[in-house]
Amino acid sequence: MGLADALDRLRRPFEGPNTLGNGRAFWVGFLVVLVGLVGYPIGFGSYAASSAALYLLYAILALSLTVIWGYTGILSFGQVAFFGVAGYSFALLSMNLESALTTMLALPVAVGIAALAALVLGYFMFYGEVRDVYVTILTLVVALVLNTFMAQTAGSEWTVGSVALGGFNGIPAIPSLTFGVGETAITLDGAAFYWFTLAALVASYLGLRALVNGRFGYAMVATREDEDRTEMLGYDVRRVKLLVFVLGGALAGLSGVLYATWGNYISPSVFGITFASIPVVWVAVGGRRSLLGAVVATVVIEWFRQQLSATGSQYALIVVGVVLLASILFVPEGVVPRLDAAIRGARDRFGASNDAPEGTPE
Amino acid sequence: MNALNLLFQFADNFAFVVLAAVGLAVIFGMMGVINLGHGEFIMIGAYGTTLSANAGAPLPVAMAIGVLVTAVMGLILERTIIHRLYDRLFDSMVATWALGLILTQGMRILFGNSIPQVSTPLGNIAYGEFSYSTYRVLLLPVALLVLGGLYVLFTRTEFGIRARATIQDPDTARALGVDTDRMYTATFVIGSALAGLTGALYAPTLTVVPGMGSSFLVEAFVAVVVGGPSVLLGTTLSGGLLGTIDAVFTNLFGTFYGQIAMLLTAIVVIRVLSDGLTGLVETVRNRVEGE
Amino acid sequence: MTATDTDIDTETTEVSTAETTDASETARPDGGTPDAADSGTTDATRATDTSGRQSPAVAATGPGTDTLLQTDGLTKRFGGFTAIDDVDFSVETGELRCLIGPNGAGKSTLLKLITGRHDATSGAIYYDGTDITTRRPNERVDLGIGMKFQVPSVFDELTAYENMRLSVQRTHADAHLDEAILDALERIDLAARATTPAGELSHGQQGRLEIGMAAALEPDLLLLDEPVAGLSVEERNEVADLVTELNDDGIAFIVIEHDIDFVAEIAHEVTVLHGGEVFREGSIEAIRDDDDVRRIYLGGE
Repeated sequence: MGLADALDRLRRPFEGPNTLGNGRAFWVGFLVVLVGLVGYPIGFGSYAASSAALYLLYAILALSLTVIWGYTGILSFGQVAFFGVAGYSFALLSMNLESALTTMLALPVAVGIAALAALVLGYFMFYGEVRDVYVTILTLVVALVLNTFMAQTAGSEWTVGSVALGGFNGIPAIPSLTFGVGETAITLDGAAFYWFTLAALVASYLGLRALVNGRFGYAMVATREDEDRTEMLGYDVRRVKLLVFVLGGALAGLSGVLYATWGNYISPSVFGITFASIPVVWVAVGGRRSLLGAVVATVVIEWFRQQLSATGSQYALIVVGVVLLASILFVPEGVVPRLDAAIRGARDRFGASNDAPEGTPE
Repeated sequence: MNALNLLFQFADNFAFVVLAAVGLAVIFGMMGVINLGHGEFIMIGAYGTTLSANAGAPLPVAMAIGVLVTAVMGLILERTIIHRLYDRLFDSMVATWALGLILTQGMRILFGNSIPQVSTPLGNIAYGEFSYSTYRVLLLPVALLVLGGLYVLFTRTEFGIRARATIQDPDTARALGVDTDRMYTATFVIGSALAGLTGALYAPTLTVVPGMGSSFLVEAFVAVVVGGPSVLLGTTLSGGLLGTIDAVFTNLFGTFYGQIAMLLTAIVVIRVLSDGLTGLVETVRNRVEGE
Repeated sequence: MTATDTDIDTETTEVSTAETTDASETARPDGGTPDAADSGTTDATRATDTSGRQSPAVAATGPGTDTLLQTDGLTKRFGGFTAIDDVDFSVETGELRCLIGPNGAGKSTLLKLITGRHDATSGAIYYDGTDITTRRPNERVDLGIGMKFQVPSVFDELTAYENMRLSVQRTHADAHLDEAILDALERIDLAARATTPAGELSHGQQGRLEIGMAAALEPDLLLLDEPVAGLSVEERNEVADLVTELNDDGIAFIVIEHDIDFVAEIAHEVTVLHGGEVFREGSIEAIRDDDDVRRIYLGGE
């Protein structure tokens, strides 16, 4: 009983009405899945792990949109802008500094640059009291303009330090993440990269769970529900939105750095209109107000897209579009929350529930 | 560069911004819905035109077909999908986005990555060392004609009065016997037809490909952001402002900087004026009347 | 807070100092300590005001005096329409003031100007010694002004508990949060409905929840816009009791109300607005017997 109590106390900060999956049963399941994910490279080998790492790093991008859109009510079509900015920043930093410094140092700096970009853009939007539609449009336009910009950097004048931006072709040969210098350096590739990405995803997921169930999370949800009302409780909604936007920018940036090191490559297509839409698909289909939903939908949709494009089918994007449309029309709250509700409904009906009731305070 | 060159550049940009934005602005201004598939609606208009012309139709007829096809598509999509989402702002944006995705990829599957293009008619006007396409020069009067036509439609016709009543107060409009559902449908169809017209007009001057819609998006979205919610006033003013900025920066530094300058303008405008240029005009008007 | 004028009324000063300390010690959910920053600007504003154009209102409000809120030539125009016209209006610490007047008199507009929902066209608003005319709504809440809207304005999709938490977490540390939320719900008789989404509560319960949430912010002044409109007699009495109870705790009130019996039940003083101007001010008895007031109500506009 002592151990169970200790575990209950451990999970408390991560639980609350703002997340799905509270109670002991959920966390047991969570640990089982986690163990499975950790063991995946051992069972399926380094190559499979490397492919799977892409889905995991995308899931961090999906989380960045969930926290902005689902929890705070700001629909950003430009999360890929911060993703790409961080990816490019990482490429330029790590390739210029490679000889002297560990690339691991470039990671926080690149994430910081993405956060800074979000801070500047967010300041103009939220302190300009821009209405919600305009935020969506502006974030999209930022991504599109970056796409145009990076695509025309083919000339030799577009060189930062020793690295050419490469225009439409992008930057190849971006180094993998490494700890340490020289002989003792540990390079993160294959299974090691997979584990690193998994750790980053789990940390992001748990961190966000604690955030949204805490004081600031309530302020986020209130801002989403009604800004004027939230202001009348003394919250500075402009600041709430700006902070969330910066956090989202940083998470998208982390995802972007991982992406750049995953394929050792980045190109302007990360700012393109197709890629810009993909995070919205993950989050809308999975459940915009569910962190877990975003992660699950990302992995499933990306796995599916991978299968389709591997067979050379042109229908992948059509299917994605149709799935998105169908989920907006028929499952607006998202698939994972719908499943959660169905499971809970079934459990209630059979009276098998002995967990703490969901959604009740503390 | 000289003054006349700059003037032509401005005229070209003004026409492009106005035509790129007007369909989006009508739907946004009248219904509050942002059609994120706007670029793909334009693409459909261009495909309708080019394919008809390739099939032997004279260009004006082909253009009319392009407009018609887009309008009919707008009608069908409004009745089946969009009208369910009027009270769900974000969802309507995501749904129109999904439609755009399906349209782009659908056209790619149906017609491949490229189709035979229509050449630009009417030859060139030469002036000193410069030469301009007559057709593109004529797009300025066409853009002005479209704005004038919309002005007449929304201020001088029974339809326009009903439409404006619907925007201002749907409940009262309904109580007065206006079929507001039909007003929304009609507005969406008009917006779609205008997008189709833009596609039809630019079909002979641009490369018609499935992804061409995105080349209109930056101008269209920035124009709507800068213009604010009033359709005619906003579109005209932002067409003028952005046309000027684009012309100046493109002339000074090259095409790409025109776009960057427009983006920065949009960001600064919304920081200073939360309802865009329309909001500024309203404020000035209020202040003058208030004194 | 400011240390001026302390000799005039030490009791008031002590109360307000104590409350300020309490608020600034509490961790804010958004991570900052707004009080520290605020009092800096407060001092600056006061200093320039008193040394500069010597506004009488600044001297008249603030710790050490009894005037909590004062408007000075407050005017609001919407286009060509003047909704509030050169209004000088004040509320004392701990007072309960009713605001009445025919439809279109500008009552709601006045409240929205005080909360910052509308910006004043001209004139000034002073609260507790601070010029708040251009302050943002949330800053005014931090200074101690709470508001209940005309239409019950709670977060429909959040439970009563979560609604109350949004308010209570601004004044309480994590350790006491749960207890404090339940206490606050108990006070408005909603503890039993803690897990009900606020949108599913009755009209009267939503109204009480909203007043409870405003009160939980520990304000010195609460603005209520028609708190009993559309309520049953029973619900109306509950609101009257709640308002009286909170007022006894020292919270000043401005209440807009059409129900003259309700006004008579709770009010000390009544201000009559008419055509955007202060028409009469006085005790409820005097106002009720005033023929001119009766005339503007019956005669319409």
